[in-house]
Amino acid sequence: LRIKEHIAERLIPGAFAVGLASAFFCCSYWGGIYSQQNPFPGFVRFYQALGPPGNFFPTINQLIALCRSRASSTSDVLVVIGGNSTFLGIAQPVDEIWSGYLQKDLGPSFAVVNLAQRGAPPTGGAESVAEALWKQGYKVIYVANVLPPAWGEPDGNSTYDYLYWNAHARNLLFSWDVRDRYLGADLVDREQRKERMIRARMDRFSNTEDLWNTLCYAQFCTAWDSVTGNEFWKPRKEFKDVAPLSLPIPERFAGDRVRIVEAVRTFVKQPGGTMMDTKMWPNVELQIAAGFVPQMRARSLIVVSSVSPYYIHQLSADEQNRYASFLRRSVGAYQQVGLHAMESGSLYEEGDYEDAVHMLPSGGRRLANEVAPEVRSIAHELYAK
Amino acid sequence: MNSTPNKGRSTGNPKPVESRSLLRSVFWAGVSLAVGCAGGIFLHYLIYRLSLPTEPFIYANF
Repeated sequence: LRIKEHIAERLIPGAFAVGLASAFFCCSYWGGIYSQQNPFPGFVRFYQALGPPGNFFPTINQLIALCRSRASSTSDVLVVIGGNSTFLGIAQPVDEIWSGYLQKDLGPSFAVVNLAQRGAPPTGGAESVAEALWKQGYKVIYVANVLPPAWGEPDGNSTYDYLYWNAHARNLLFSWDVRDRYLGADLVDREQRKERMIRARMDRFSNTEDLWNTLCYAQFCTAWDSVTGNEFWKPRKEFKDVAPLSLPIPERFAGDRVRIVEAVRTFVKQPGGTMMDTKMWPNVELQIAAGFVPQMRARSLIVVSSVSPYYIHQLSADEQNRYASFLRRSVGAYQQVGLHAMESGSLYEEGDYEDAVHMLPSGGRRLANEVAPEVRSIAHELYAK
Repeated sequence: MNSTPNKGRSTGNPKPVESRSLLRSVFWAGVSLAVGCAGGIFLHYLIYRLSLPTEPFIYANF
């Protein structure tokens, strides 16, 4: 009451409005300036505190600026890596990460940027970044993995679809009516998509996410999360990127053996396995066609990841054959619409894996050896590199 | 009785009263501007906070 009497009633509405508007526009302007600069110097990958587990959601502008800062000139080929935690390189220390090996294999005329995130599908997120960069005139090759059947909606999944919608609102993407129709017809996530669209349109003018994200990385954070806990206020750049220590093989895989083997069986069991579902494959093909614009298909490589061979070897011979066929059919679904696709992981050593899907440095080395010739071949075909 | 000149009201000179009220107006205009600025920054921050998910991200690798 006293505050009302002493302050609120004496405030001058005009001056208050000028202060409110000018501070808001200054913040928006400041966010706009930040959005053009690489916010993550020395970036290698999204570690826990620098991603959704740490309540940190990098913006589309930040990711584009990060990629642009890596290309020393527009003649360099930007290799944008997307996909899930397998490609993120969990279980590989920073100096032994697979994308680092890929960079060494490809040489200095390529710039590899690993934008893979935990649980991210090949569509949406990093794909939107690659598409935006290609639209801006950069030489881009997009490399992502998928762990079937997590194909991903054309805008990604609920954690990362904000990147697609933010790129869409800023007119950074190619228009693609098949994608628009698919997203418009999907009734399941309609309300969430509406929210994302409103959020993206507001952010286009206010740049709130660019400003507060940059401050959170470099200065201070304001949102609590379970990863950083009591240190949630610390700038994210102060947190270390640490890979977990690996156990010997029996202990490494034993705890999850029954659960993972049963999960794989749900795809390949006969009858009733997911891959036998006659409705599934046409839907998958439609999803893939809607998820990749024609301009990106020739410059995209999708790596279909296998579950660790340790778990596959627990299946019967028939089940193993059907799982191999499931992976081959997945590769074929991407190739059918003009994308480059390959399978990886099923022929690796059991010891190349840390768990069901994450590779140790030895597996990462093999992955880089397989991906590098494919990337070089695409670069030669498209950019005469 | 009051030997000090220039107390405004008693002398009938309106200038000091005007300047004092002008000062007060400028002070409150400054306060209003500052409160407005704080409100603008808060509003900007609020929009950012509304964009963060209400439920934590739980990662399951398979």
